[in-house]
Amino acid sequence: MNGAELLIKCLEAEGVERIWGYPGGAIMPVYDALLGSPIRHYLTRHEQGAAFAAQGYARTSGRPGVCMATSGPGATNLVTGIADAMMDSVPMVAITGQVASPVLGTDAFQETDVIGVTLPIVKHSWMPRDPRDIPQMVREAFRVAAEGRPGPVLIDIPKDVQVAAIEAEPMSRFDHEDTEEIDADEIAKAIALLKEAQRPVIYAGGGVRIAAAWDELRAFAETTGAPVVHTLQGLGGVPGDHPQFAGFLGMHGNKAANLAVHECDLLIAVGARFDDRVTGKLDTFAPHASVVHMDVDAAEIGKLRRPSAALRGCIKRSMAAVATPVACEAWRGRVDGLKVEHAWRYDAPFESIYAPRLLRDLCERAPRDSYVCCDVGQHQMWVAQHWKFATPRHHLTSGGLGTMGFGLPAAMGVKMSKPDATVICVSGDGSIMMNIQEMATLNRYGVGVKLLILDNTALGMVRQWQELFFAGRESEIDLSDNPDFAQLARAFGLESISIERADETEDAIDAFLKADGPVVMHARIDREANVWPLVPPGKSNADMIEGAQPTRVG
Amino acid sequence: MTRTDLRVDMTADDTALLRLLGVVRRRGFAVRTIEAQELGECSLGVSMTIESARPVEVLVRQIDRIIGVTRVSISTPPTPPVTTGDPSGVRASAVA
Repeated sequence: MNGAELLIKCLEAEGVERIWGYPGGAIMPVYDALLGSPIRHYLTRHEQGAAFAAQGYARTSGRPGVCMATSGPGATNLVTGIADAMMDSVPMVAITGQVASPVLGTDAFQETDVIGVTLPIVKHSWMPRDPRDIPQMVREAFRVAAEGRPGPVLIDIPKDVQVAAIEAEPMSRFDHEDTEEIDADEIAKAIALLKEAQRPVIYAGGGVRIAAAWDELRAFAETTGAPVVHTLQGLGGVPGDHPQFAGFLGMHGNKAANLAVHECDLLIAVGARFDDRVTGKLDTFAPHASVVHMDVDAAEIGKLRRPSAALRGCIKRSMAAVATPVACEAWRGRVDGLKVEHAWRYDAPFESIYAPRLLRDLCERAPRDSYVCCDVGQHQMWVAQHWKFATPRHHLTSGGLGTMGFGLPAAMGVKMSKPDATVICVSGDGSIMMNIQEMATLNRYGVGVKLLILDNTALGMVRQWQELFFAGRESEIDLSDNPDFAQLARAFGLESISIERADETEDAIDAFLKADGPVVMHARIDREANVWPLVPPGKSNADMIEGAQPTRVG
Repeated sequence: MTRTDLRVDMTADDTALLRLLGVVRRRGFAVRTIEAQELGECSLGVSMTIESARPVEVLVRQIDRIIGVTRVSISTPPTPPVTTGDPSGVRASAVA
């Protein structure tokens, strides 16, 4: 056995069933060792696609996704996917080949110090100098990636270590169970705050997805009676049609959700990190509220807002420990009124396709447990506003890093690991071009991802900001020379549908959902459509602005 | 701006100091002095003076979650910065 074969055996021992990657010179021994392994390798058409596909698996399963690349450009092409995983706390193990130890540091062919490049964007990284190090490092890598607040890790293996002879066995798989107690004094403080509260709001974020805590969140909400608002990563924590769900908050959130947080006297942050896209001007966020903060990561507590009660540890146990009924019927009535007053409208009278309505219609007709992956831009916000997700793990979106190009490969990773699920990728004409090569991967493996491209022939979100905050001076946002996406999809071997008018959407959705294999629906939308409402940069969430709404007809 | 002395004990490996210094810098703190010593075969003791307008307690928690850090503590209470003739503020540097 050599080091590469030992590595593959260690991955098998960790329960790895799938790897996404791209071979090259410095990782060739590992690719050779993959032959004959039960691990299934998916060849993407770019290493970034491999990283995001691994994320698709990880975000939906909660287990570390594994991606692999060679040294130099292979490794650096993984970097955006690694950074994205770090920002959204996604467990991922990236494996890179490295030039042989004797030439490390000599500017050898395809040598990049990927350990150095990725130091700020991984939880940890390792370079084995001897094949005997591999079992311990692999076990540690999977432990660190999944434990506590998850995130990406990197193993960079010099080629000489891969080919060195070794007789060793993998270590037993790490199974983590968090048994750490929550501080009893902080629990008592939180309960006292709940008992005193008159206008509580639960502000639930991506920690609910990470901890698979949606059932516990719903129970906590129903015990307290408090309205629930979600961050982008928390959507689906309570169902979109739950009576206590007040909406998506933040820059493009519902006005009702933002006003509820602005008026509340107790904010219970559950697995949320007071991100600037959520808070707007920080010192105006929930200005009348005491804060109870529940988070597994001690470094998040007090980072941006000092809490009155800090519950560090498992959010499931924190919620169970402090669940207390709150007498807040009048407040619930106030929030229900805000929801009615600021409900979405879909009655656009024009002939062109109104993206929010298309997304609402698609959501209503797709299976309730569909997985929806987004790219980044206006369409991402429309999905967040108008889709009702089964759980937070059914919504895959690049929230922290905001990576255009995330959607298609992430959707691919989901569908490859959940072949019976309906997996929809919603993209824009800007984002889709960032990783469009992965259409070839869909075709190669017959992966039935449903890809909706909302095409406004522009970088829509940038155009919107230029319109609103740069006096309408458009700079480098024009994409009117896009390829014919339907024709392009067919060139990759995918089925495709094109629509331009509102009256075409019903039949198109039918065909889209009935397709067995990979299918693209290319929908032309209005170039000038904006995402509303919007919290202008540097403003309070209470100062949301709204643009022209569809005018009711009939 | 406040100066604080920190003491960090961590597992010694090729990248330990880089990880520590990276977190300090990224989180908005400037390193004014640093001294690192081997503590036995596998450990490193780092004493550093850092400066920032940000609360040091948050940085301490961020350092504490670096893999390999075994202990982090504030060794002296925060104090206002010392004005020196050196505009960089770097008084000494001794990295083991």
